[in-house]
Amino acid sequence: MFDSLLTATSGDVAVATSRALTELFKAHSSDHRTLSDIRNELAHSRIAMPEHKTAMLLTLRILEEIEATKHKQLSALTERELRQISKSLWRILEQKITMEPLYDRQAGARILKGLRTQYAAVA
Amino acid sequence: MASPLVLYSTNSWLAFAISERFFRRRHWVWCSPFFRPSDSHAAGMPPSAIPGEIYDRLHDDVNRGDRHSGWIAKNKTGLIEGAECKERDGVISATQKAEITSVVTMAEVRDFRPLLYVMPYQRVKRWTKEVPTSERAHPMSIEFIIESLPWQAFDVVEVRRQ
Repeated sequence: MFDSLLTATSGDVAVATSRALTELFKAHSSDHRTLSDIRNELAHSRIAMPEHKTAMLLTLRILEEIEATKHKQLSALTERELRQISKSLWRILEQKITMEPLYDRQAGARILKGLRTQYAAVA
Repeated sequence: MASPLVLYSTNSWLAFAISERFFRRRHWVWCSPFFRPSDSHAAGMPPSAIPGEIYDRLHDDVNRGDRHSGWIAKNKTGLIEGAECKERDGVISATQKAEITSVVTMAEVRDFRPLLYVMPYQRVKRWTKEVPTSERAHPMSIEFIIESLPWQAFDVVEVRRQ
């Protein structure tokens, strides 16, 4: 599933998965929102940068694929299906990220530990 | 509608910490004039646009230790999308973007505990942008974006302790 993401850059995948999840959450909480509403909104939004356009097209591909494989409208997805989709999209994004040359799990863990210490008592 | 008194926004602890460390203590927030809208306003607002609802969902998923929470996945992808945009805008370097993505992938469920940002409208109104209808969670809901909110302009509240 989501084959269109396999050949995209991790930047495009990050933007597309984030937008797709936002659209899924919006559709899930509104019975009236359909894929063609989303398609129309994206078509009429102001997209200034080419990379945004690629990410928007990917977003649509993701949403179209979800409707096609689940055989139902986005607004009819159950909580369980939404969870499965979120998990799949996050896995793909995580795989993409870990292939990037600058990605460093150890550095991430070290910084995260520092953030937890520094901002523990934020509220 | 009269000017709101206060704006509310729910964000994860990790989003707060990343903005403080990497984005020069400036925060990107999606906010609403209602923490939980009254009945008359609630009709136009789905849960994903209500700070109180977002707070509850994140709080419950964190409390359950739900590693596959859709709300947490959405938060993670949003943080990485944010890092992409900040790099594109020249706020952070490619190395810093990689550090943020590493931090987000290493984060645990507890790092997504919700925080409520409370902003006096008069103090932040110069930075607010109304969310275009096409991007709102519902066409009738009232939503604002502040792309670069300085830390001095808001208070952070943890409504319920873990």
